[in-house]
Amino acid sequence: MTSGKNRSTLFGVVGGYLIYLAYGLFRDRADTDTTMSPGMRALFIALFAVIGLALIVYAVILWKRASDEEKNGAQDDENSMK
Amino acid sequence: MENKSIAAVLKKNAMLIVLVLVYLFFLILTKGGIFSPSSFTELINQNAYVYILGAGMLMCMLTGGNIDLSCGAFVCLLGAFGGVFMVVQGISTGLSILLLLLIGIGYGVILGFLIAYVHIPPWIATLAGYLAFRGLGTAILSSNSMTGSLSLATKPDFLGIFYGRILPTEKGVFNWPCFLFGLLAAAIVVLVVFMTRKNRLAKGYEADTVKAAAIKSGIGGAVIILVMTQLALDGGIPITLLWVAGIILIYSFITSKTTVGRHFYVVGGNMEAARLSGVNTRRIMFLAYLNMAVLTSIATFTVIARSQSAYADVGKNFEMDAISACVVGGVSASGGAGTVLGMVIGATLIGVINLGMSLISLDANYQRVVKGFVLLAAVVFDIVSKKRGK
Repeated sequence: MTSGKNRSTLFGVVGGYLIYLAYGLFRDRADTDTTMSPGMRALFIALFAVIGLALIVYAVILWKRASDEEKNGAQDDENSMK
Repeated sequence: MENKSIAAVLKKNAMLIVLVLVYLFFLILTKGGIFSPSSFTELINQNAYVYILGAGMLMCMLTGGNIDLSCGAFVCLLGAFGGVFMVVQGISTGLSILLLLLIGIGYGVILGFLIAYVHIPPWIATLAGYLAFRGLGTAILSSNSMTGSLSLATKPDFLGIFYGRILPTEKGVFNWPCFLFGLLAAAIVVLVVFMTRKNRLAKGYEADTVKAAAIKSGIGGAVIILVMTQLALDGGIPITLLWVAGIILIYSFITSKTTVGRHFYVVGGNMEAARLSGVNTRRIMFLAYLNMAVLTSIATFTVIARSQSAYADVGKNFEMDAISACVVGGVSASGGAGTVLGMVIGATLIGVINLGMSLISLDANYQRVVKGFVLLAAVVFDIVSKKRGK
């Protein structure tokens, strides 16, 4: 795997973790022993979910870019050997 | 020129400056609570696993942004094995530690082989461990205990190796061995900085000015003496500090002074170029994951010794803590760049934030939010740095 793909994997993992944090906040919404208001909770859930998703999409774009670079690199090698 | 050099120094030490600012922020917020002797001990004991796993994750990330998603779950599994060996089977501490290390090495060999020689992407190979190990660990604990956890409180010899203090004294009684150790460590830091400068000048490389070296070593020495003084007031040197310091020193040496350490950077910088230059890239990848598994074993010992039990929830999110420490500490997500010192600063920053938040009794939900924003800031910093680099 190229470092470009590894970088995209890392961003995907971080994006997934942010979505997991959002899920954790959502799962504990019935918790009354908290100083976080429902409004703030909703805001942070939405924020982390959106940013997490955006990071995953960015990771996919990076992955595709890295795959295309690999393909082009392999084609250039083939052409230079002819 | 003067302004450029100040800007360059600020840029080079950005995370260190952020650490100092965050510490000062919590110092004010906690009304000095974070500066108490017990806070220093807590910071080290609570975050020992982050430093240890961070060192392993650093070596993986250097090879090209590769990560290990299974380390947290493996801590759970290994902890379960440890509980069964020592408590249920009554195996001696020494033999148990050896068996656990062998299991760690075995896992590292299999994982390294799959990634380096079978070419399974690291995130897939380690995701399998992430999914499987916790379930396995929980099953082992459940089948050996009514409560789903195994207490290690009856194993003082194991606890004594990985938790507790060296030459302890009562809290409040000044621990002189600890303070003297701090003075010695500070003196060594000053010596190393000036020896390094001298060697670099002798070889014709660029080196810090005498003033810069004096400031650098002075600050480093002062911080060491400050920390050791606080620990001396809290009863002595925590044993976990020795493990953490030992691992940090070993990996600092490996990454900066050894050929194999430099190969990690070269492989991460450009794997194909490294291979064509004669670097055995497969062996480096294999070593990265074998090393990670061994360090995960050591982290397991410190964690279960601190909690004095093996339980199913141990190791949750450890992999994210290790990744956060590396990313926050400036380790490149593409590989080929990053230092042990950077990882230590990243881990300390996260540790200070966690400790500060618990000292001000911040709601657990807000603590989650802060953790998320810290990781996000580090990722954004990495993206921006990469774009500027282009």
